[in-house]
Amino acid sequence: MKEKKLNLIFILFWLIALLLVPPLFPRYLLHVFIIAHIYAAFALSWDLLAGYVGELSLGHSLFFGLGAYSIGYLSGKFGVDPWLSIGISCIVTVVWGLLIGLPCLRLRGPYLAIVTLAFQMLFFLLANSLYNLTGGEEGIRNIERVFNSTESYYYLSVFLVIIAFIICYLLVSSKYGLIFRTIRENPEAAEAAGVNIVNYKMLGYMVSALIAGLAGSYQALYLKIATPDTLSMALTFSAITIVAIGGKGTLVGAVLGSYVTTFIFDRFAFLKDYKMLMYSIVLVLCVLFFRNGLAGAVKRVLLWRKMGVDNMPGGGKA
Amino acid sequence: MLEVKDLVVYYGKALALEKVSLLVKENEFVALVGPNGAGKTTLLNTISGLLTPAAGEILWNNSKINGIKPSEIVRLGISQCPEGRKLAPEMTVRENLEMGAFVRKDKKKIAEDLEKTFQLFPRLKERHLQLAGTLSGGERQMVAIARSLMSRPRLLMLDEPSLGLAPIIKEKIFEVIREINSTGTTVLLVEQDTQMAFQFADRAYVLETGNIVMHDKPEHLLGQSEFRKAYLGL
Repeated sequence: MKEKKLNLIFILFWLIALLLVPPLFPRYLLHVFIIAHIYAAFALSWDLLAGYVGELSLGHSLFFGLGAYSIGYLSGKFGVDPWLSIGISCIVTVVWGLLIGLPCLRLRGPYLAIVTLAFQMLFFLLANSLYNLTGGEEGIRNIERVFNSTESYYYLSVFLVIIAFIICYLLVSSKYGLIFRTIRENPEAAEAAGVNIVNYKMLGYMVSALIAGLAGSYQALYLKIATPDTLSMALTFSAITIVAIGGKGTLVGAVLGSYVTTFIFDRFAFLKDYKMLMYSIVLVLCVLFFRNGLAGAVKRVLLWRKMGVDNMPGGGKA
Repeated sequence: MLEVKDLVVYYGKALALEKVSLLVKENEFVALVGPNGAGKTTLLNTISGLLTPAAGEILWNNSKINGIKPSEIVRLGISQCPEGRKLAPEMTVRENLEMGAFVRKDKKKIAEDLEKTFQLFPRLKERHLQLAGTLSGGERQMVAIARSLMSRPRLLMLDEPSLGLAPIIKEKIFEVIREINSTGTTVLLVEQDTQMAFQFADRAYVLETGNIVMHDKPEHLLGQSEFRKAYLGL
């Protein structure tokens, strides 16, 4: 298939470009790239769930925060080896995914969105108020440094985001992707074909939670701090904005969108608290005028001759 | 092959089926007709496991299958082609068909069956890379039937396949259903267009407000003046 080739070419070019960054750009930009990669992995996890399985997760930063705080506790408070902490934090996020997903994914409707949102807000409040346990707004510090150079952190972030992309890509391009999309498009059709919908939704939800948790863990490891910001609603909405800009249900879009937003917002750092306002405006504009995002635009240019514009996903009809 | 015995189904407190019994034999083409709200779709949905009966039993090759999950029923060889097609609009025709073969593992045979299905519906072969949502009503119905066939069912249950189709297309769809039946798939058809259904069916059941009121060969039913008055307006 042509689309498979495009994705392979994308990964290859992306990897080469990323390896060229450290020798060519100033050290400061490496930091922006690392943040972009963490956001990209987080946005990928959101896109996997919303764009393929069709479940909105409005409190997705829950998993990001759980990952970050797991590192904070294990490495910062109890001095566990940071690499081992990452492994444990993955288990923690997956278990929470299981606990929330099991009851919610049996129901059709917005229940998953509501319950993840509720847990995210609860954890956010707890992290802020239980000062003795969580350090309140100060967060948990003293996370052990794992590398001495920013370059090393950069390369690990490249590894993280590429692995996240490949996991998502392999999943959605396999039979599972077909099943996820059928569940999104028409759950009755999936059921009539003999699919046990709940099991597949659970699978998608847990992989998504795992990747979001991994992104959160890495951020804590890199910044050497876990703060309540990692559990904030603003973080979830930045993932949604990134996916909206990049193109929902494309994976590539989550990556492109994350570079664009991170670099643009880096320039607009002086906006401070008005950043949320800017996110919202960009989100509204994208939904109104740019429905398939950057990835949709790129794909349209590359494939329109073969498929015809009317036959593009989401294209042709309003 | 399929035997429904004294089946009772409720929606909450509302009685939908009141002691319905029905028999479908191997390789038969059975039609189930009746007015709106008689319980035809309810009966199919109960057989395919989407609804749980309050009483009675459903026997598949002499073993009880009520209470089994829908996904397991498909594995047993009963496939339902739901009313209103229920396609995945933003997926291609081919992907919709591949989804139909979900319960099967033998890739080679699935590919063979895909070819066979395309022979049955040459129109779909031309359009296999097109998104299902961009097809015409008749073509969508073809995809829906083809998709149910991809699970290699022994019993194909069709729910109103002619709904909203032009008469010419309707006839084409029915001819394909006959062809499917003649190659060894048992068919249980729910249809509002009684005349059309009776041209093709071996036997027919008439369902009215949750009860089977008549069942016989179509030509015998057509011979009864009561039936003709109620269903054909003759």
